Amino acid sequence: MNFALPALPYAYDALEPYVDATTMNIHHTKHHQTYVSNINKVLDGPHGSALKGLSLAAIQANIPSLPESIRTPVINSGGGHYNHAMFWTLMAKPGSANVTPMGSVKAKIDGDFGSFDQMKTQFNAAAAARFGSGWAWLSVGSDGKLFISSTANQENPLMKGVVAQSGTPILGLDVWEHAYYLKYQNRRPEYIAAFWNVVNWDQVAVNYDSATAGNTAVFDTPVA
Amino acid sequence: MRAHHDAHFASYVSKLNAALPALPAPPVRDDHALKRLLRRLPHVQPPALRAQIRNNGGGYLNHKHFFSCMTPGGAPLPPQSALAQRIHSQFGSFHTFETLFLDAARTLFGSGFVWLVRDAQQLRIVQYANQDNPALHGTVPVLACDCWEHAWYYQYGPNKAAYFAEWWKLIDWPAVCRYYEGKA
Repeated sequence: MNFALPALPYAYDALEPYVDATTMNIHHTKHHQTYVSNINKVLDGPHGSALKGLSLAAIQANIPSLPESIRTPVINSGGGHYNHAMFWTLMAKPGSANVTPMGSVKAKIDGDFGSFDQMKTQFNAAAAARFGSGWAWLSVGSDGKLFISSTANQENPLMKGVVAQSGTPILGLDVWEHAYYLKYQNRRPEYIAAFWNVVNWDQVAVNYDSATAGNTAVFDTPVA
Repeated sequence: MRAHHDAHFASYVSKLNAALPALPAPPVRDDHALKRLLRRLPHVQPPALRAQIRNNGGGYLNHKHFFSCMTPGGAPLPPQSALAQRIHSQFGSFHTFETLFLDAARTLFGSGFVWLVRDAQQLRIVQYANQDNPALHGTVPVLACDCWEHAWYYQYGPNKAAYFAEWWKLIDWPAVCRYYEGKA
């Protein structure tokens, strides 16, 4: 079974004025679609059987055990599909979801960072400092503590053996230029600051609960 | 072009200027000194400064080279030039070279530049990530293609193949020849 592009949970203009409709449209229908098409090409290709039966999340965690010739395409396109499929669910139309942490994820953030503001300061710094293309993440580590990291290109913290610090991401921000260029040009810090207006903390809370139970972030990965 | 030059390029220049005073003497005052610095980057002190020099020194040199390889309407490659002859002997034909170069540009993943470099006596088409400059690798830059999304996103959206094809027509080949011959 091949992967299909998941539908966006909201209209393309739902995140205005923080993320513009044109960017959301191109980001979803072109960039994310390309990652889906390309991971499917790997599935259909010579070593595709190595991925057979693996969920998208399991693929992220098993990169080093894959045949060497498909590792880079899987990191790039399998990572790209995972990251974007998760990303859309982390955002919501302002007013339609909790825009600040609550419940157990709030308590965890306060415990591990001191406060939501302190967590945001660290996250913003990681997102701004990632040179070139990549993502910033809030993840649950193997020690059960939350940590912030950034990854290059389409890597993510699930990729043990690939990234410096592995863990289970519960919140992420795309800092590839295509994610913000049309509206923000090179003003990445402005885009990062705007992101907090659209974060769907109800979903992040679900991801946190799932991660502490030993699973990964919760989102659909439809098949074709 | 305006955002690329006035915002991105300018930002690399100012960040590089902010980082250089923290280096021990002698001061880096020109592009040659900067390239020598990049060549010995693993030995630059303090270590905390290396990423800043690599990224902003590279960003400055790369954009300077990139902009200097273009001219309105482009300018053709003189057939008798040393570069034309080298391309023919190494790649078989200009068309083959063009195909290989544009394939490298299209397939570069993430941010980076595609370069034609001189490496000893050979021409090589290379992809360097982010703002890594050929000086880091001891290769001589000949032609630079900025493949970062900011170089084309505004006009071409996700259609980078169209950008690369149009960019190819803007190349100032006599300028590229001067880089190949070590005259620039």
